[in-house]
Amino acid sequence: MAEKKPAGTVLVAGAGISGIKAAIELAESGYKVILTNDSPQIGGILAKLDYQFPTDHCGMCRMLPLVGREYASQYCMRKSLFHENIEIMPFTEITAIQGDAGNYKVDLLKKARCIDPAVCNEMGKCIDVCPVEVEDEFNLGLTKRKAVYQAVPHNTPKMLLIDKQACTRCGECLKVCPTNAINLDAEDEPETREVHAIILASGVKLYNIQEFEDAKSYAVSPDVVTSLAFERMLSGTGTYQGDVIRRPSDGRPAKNIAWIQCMGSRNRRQKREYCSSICCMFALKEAVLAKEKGGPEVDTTIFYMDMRTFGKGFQQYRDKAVNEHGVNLIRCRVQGVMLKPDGNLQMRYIDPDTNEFFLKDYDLVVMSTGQIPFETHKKWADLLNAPLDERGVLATEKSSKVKVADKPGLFLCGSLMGLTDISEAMVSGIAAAGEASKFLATLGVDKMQEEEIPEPPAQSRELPLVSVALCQCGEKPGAEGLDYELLSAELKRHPGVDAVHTITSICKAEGETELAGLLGKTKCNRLLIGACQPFMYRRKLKNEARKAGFNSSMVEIFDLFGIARRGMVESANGDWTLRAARDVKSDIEKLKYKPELKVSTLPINQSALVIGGGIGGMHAALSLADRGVPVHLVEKEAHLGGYLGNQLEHTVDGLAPMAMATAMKLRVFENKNITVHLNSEVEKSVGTLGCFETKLHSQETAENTYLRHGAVILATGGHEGATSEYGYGTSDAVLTQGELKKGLASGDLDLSEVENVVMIQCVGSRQPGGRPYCSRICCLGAIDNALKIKEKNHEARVFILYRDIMTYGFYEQYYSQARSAGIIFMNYSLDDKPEVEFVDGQPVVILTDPVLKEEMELNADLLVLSTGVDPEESNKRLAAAFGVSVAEDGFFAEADSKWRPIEFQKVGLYLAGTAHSPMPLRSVILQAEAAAQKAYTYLSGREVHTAAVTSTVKDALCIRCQRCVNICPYGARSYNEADKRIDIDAAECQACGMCAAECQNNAAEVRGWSDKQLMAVIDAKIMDSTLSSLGDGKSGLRQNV
Amino acid sequence: MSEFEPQIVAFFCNWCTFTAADLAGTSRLSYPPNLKIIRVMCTGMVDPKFVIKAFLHGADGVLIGGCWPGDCHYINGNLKARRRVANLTEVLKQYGIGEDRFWLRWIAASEGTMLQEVAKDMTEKLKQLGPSPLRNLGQIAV
Repeated sequence: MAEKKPAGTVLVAGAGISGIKAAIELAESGYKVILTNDSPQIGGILAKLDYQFPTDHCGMCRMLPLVGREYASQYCMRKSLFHENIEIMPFTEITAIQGDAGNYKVDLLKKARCIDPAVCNEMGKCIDVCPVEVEDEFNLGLTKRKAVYQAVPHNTPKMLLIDKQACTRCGECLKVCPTNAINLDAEDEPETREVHAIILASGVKLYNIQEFEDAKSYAVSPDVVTSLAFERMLSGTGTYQGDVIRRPSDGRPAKNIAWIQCMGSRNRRQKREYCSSICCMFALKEAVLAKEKGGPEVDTTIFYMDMRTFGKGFQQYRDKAVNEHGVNLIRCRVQGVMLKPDGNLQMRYIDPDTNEFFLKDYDLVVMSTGQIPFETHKKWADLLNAPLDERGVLATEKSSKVKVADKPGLFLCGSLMGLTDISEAMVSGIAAAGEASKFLATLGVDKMQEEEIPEPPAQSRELPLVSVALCQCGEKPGAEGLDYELLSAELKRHPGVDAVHTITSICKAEGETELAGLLGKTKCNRLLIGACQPFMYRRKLKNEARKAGFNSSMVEIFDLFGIARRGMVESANGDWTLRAARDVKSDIEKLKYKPELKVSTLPINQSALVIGGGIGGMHAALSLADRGVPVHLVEKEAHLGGYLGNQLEHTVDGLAPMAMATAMKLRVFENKNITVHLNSEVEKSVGTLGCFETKLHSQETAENTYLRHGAVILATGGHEGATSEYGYGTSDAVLTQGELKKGLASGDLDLSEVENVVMIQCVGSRQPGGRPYCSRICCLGAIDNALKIKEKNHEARVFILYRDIMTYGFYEQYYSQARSAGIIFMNYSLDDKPEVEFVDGQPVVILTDPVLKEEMELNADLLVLSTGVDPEESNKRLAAAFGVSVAEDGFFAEADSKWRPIEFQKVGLYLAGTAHSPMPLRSVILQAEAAAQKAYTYLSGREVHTAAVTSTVKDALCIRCQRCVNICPYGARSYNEADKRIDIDAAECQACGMCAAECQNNAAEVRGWSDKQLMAVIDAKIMDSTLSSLGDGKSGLRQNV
Repeated sequence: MSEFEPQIVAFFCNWCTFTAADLAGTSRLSYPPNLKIIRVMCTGMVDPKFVIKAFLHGADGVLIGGCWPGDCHYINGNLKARRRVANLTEVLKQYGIGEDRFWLRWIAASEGTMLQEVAKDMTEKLKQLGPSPLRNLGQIAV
């Protein structure tokens, strides 16, 4: 290369989950990322949450990259994030942004931590002596912390810091600090960085009950907590350390817990006319967890307005919470909480079923405090000198949720888009990264250049001879008292160990030279390095070793100080050097028998197959084609556009799908990278990431086409559900919402004579025997149609009979608008559904009035049914062809509903739009963009490196029983009929080792986790301790005999 | 004479229980040193022969710790482990290793305290039970 272009750099402002996801995506595609965060920790709100539904556990680590995972040096996401290409700057504020797209200059202010993390040994002596106690914001004030503290209890490294506001400068910590890491006079440090693009991800604030007048009246006692505080009460690292939930006031176990929904949201008077979107599921999950922790005798009640279970799997979770866990749901707005003299919290409510008043005591009341979106938009607008729209928001381009309008190179994601849940935050992070990488591609900046160090041959056939290098860490005597001499002597005695060296500080430059010097003259063929936080240096040290002629798989790094620390905690009598030696020995044993690991490369066919020519499919195809990726776009109908693009003139939020589809069709046909296959369906597909081969069948010509491509995006969409309920099909006066919408748009429907229009929601949806899910868009569609009817004929009365109005997020404004327009909303329940009779051909709807509890009749001139969204029938055939699965409801089953919403378990396949679940158009486009980005990550290069640790099979031992094929959760193993052997797909294999455990003949094995290694480890763990505690063991034996 | 100290071989999954053990370590929650922790990627990778090997070579108890059901990093490895453990428990009984000595526990990454409790409980239980009947066998074999 003649001139070296600068590596593309992106600043991600905000390290919540969406920011982290965007950073990981960009870093994985080879760009440099600077990830800043205002607060001292990363992880945002999710760092405080131990549990997410539907699994009711944490799954954050699933957002980490899968292929080439060794390079990411990753494990638990709750602890921290490490990536070669990501520079994390917590506790850093952005003070100014100058320049323009492609050339931003960002002024940062690194706030003073007062403790140098590079020097601190994390023993926390300073915490013990600090006399200042303040409320711990991580536990939302439920517990106290010192002025010297660790921001997140599970962070590694601990990253202690001093709260300058709280610190009294008494100097006690200075006296005890063994490493002089503390500097109370530390100042904030300004820094300037140049970046090419910026992704804003500053997240959201949750409504604080202390802050707002309307909620203060509820907070009558410390036992009224916010939902986030309740989350900390549940947490294993929280207030009660995972023990049963108790009342903050008197520590009594909480047996009666109530949740009050919509705190600080859906409140017009307070100008918060939106639904926070997440609280219903939040509360349901917390109620289920409270039951699980406290046992079935714990009584949980949720007081709600509408239970908004609109997302994928939400309704099913609600049904489970109510039917299996016995969570009570009461539709009632509780007006206040009273503190009784005995400390109980009394609430008065009306049972909506009987209209009776109840007074009930609760031990604990949880306020479901909503999200307050857009808090930080003002700040960004000021910094960027960009205009705000009437909502006070940085406007995005019309159909995109992530591209800031008129500001190329500037994107936003996560909660800055509005009100998002985890899965949408993930999708938006990916989409923003995608848009940013598209933008970087136009600038002509380079990707990070990797230093290619050739891999020396492994001498794995020679007798193992291990050299151990122990870091003494000049500045971090974390293992103070760790007797290096004793440890070295002990290790040297171990068979197979040739030499034990100590290195002053391995993470510093001198340490590196020292290590290189050692490696140069050693005759050993394996190297074990003991250092702190091995995941941070793994790659660097392995590269060092490679330069010195070591095969990198013959080098292992272990956490010496973790071992030392554990020993110190375990026993006070100081014999933990020996115990540490035992642990190190098992690491030696494991390394001794480690086979050579090879990273294999997979050739990539740099083209994609997009199935479904709807708006989602076209968007994904265009997004890839614009980046130069050849795309095959397959549509089973004779024309592109899908359901929305051919049927829907406009949506409630002002998009025009038909016009949009027409414009997209033009672009698709004009784009030379896109080949459109109309009237075609996929019949069969074989292959894996990088090399799929797919057979297309055309209905028109009855011919088969064979395509080769590297990735697949499934965007099959859906259609309006069919029904025969409520007399549909027997009378012209009964329509579906889709038919009404078309009639309204074309003007075919005469509304001048219409007096009463009755709409019934959830026809066949959210009920057993029907669609188990909420179709998400019908409430919006019904409200849109109702408003249109009112526009055309103001005299007409429109009734919407609903179960829960799903106007989540900012769609709430249309609900308010509809009610102001005089549209009458009437609630019905599943066990008391309305009935329809026909009198002289006109439908009469009979229902129970929700207020008076009396039967009433409505003569309808038009009866409109919201029949929901059905998945495409072809989903099942496609799933079979591609070897992925379809969920019970007929939509594709994604890899993980929260953390990997647009991926399949199988690598190389992605999904977008209604193929995933019913969703509004903007979300479809967001998912399509994200799916395209996911595919592009692999399609941008000619090859991908697979992980080195994958499973293997020893053909000589294999009896071809194929049990490993059946047990593999990723479908990475298959039986090759032709060669009569088991094939392993290295891209799919995640090295979980299930095949190895299943195999009867020890033929299946995970490289680096072989039986031989593990057996040796077990031996080392047991044998050594019997020797070192010989006396004990013997006496125990004698007693027994 | 000092008290009998049981040896527990603990197979912990990398994503949940091992992280919990790490958390317990960094939060300075002490748990008995009787636990000899072996990190595996997933409980689904714990071959029954590892457990048998541990018992034959002098372990008084074996603890397998993994992610809660539905929470496995590898989709369903913990469920496969559960099935395997159930089978193996029955086999081990024939050789005098009761259920008290062979535990399977779900401990999530944030449940450092739970790990501490389980470790304490198991150590206590094994102290009452005394050395494994197979311990002699192991000593003789060596």
